[in-house]
Amino acid sequence: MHNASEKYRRLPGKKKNFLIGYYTLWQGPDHLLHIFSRFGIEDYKRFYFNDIQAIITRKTIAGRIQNFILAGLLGLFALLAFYPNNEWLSFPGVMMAILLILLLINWFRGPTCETYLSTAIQAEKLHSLHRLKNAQKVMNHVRLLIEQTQGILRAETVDQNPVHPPNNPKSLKPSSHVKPTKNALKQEMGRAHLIMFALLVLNGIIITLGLFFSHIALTLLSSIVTMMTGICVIIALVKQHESDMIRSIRAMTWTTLSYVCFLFVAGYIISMAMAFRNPQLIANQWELLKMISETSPWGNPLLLGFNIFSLGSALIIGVLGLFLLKKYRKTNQKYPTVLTATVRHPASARIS
Amino acid sequence: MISCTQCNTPLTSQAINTYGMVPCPSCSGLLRADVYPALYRKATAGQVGETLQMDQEAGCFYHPRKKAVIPCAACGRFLCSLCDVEFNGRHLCPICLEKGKTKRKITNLENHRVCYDRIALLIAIVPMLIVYITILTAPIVIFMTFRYWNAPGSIIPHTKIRFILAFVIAVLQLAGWFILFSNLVGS
Repeated sequence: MHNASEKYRRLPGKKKNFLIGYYTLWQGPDHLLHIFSRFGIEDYKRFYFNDIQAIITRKTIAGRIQNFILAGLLGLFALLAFYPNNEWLSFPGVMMAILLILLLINWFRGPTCETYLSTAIQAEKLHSLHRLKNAQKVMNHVRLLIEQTQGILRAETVDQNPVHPPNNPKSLKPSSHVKPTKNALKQEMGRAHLIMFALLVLNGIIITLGLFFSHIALTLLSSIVTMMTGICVIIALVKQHESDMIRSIRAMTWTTLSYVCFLFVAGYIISMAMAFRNPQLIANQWELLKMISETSPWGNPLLLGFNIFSLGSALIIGVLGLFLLKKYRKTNQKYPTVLTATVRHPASARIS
Repeated sequence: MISCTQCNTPLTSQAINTYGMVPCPSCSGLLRADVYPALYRKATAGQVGETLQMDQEAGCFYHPRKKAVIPCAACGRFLCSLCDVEFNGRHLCPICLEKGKTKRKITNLENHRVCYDRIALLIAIVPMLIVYITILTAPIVIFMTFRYWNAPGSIIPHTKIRFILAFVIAVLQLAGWFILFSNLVGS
């Protein structure tokens, strides 16, 4: 029997999924094979050269944001390493080295992008092509293969059929001309998002103050702000569902949810650890809270690392979220849009 | 219509097939759009089977009143143009196509596979973080190696190295437990 695996050739690019798994792209004899692998299970999607209508890649700012976050964390740990009264230097030193390596790797891999492949019935995101360098390389390579199968597209054909290709007569009109339909997406201005990101910035400031002043009021305030952020995240997630909110803000909301969950879990672990160390305080929550607030992070490297991570994440997510929201609101006021439900999925809006 | 993936603005013909990054006319984001003739191809209408005109003509196995045009390449049943499915240069009937998918006879129809070699290696390595559970996982790995040695692996090029590694690690883990227990019994 012919070994099917022999006919595939790996194309550049690999993308790790958020939690588990990774995406790769392979070239077959007459198709592209997009694979999502996780824990020994593989899902395949095939795109035959004869069916591919277009491949579109767009440069994104994700790589720059990653660099910004890494540089920010690096700066924070550098401050900590050079803090005059700090006796424990190896932890921030190790963290700095790790962050510097990650920053250099990310920088060398170049700018990021989003690549979509369209056929007559689908538009699929090629997750593995998320670096512009790889995307361009693969597009140049695949172009030759597709042109061998389909022939070369003449410029006149594009000029003659600029808007309505024959097989897609109901092509999407400019969004401002689309009449609202039953499935219309609701317009979301992001008030809940604004409060959520503002609370994150506030929490970052409170945690920063907590590094220098130990007071129960700060601990209480931080807990209340975290709780309120948690509530706002849920409201924001509900609000952004089936709305025209852009993907970057949606992603920031989900990141905030992860951050809040992390804070809740870490806070629970810290309070449990404190309670086990001081069993006499288990029954008295107020005394336990006082003890937590009086514990200086400078005396405990783990607590210090947790505080730095928390304040760094809160400030980065908060500031970035506010910036994106401002930009989104500005664009929304300039170009008010009513999009149909089919457009909500990013892939479905590429070609119509 | 080709539109910007960010702002959904339709792209002009000048921005298409430039083979380099060009700014979107609306949001100024840099993008590259490679378009192929398939976008402008007319969708072909599906064929319906031709009705039998004479009794001497062969009918379709699935639609006896329709004229047979081709036999199935797998089962040999006569098919009308409605039942004829051309796939990978072969003309198949829908039943054979379905069987080819479920019985994994047509690789190009598979969209999911379980790679037991990777699972075995994971089960062999990850429990080493909590040493004690290797006493349970090592036999599982050895069983998996023998049970799934011939099972189809990944569709992409692969070797049996993961199975071998998993097996070796599992045997070493069991050997470690054996030495530990024999020392305990001896002391």
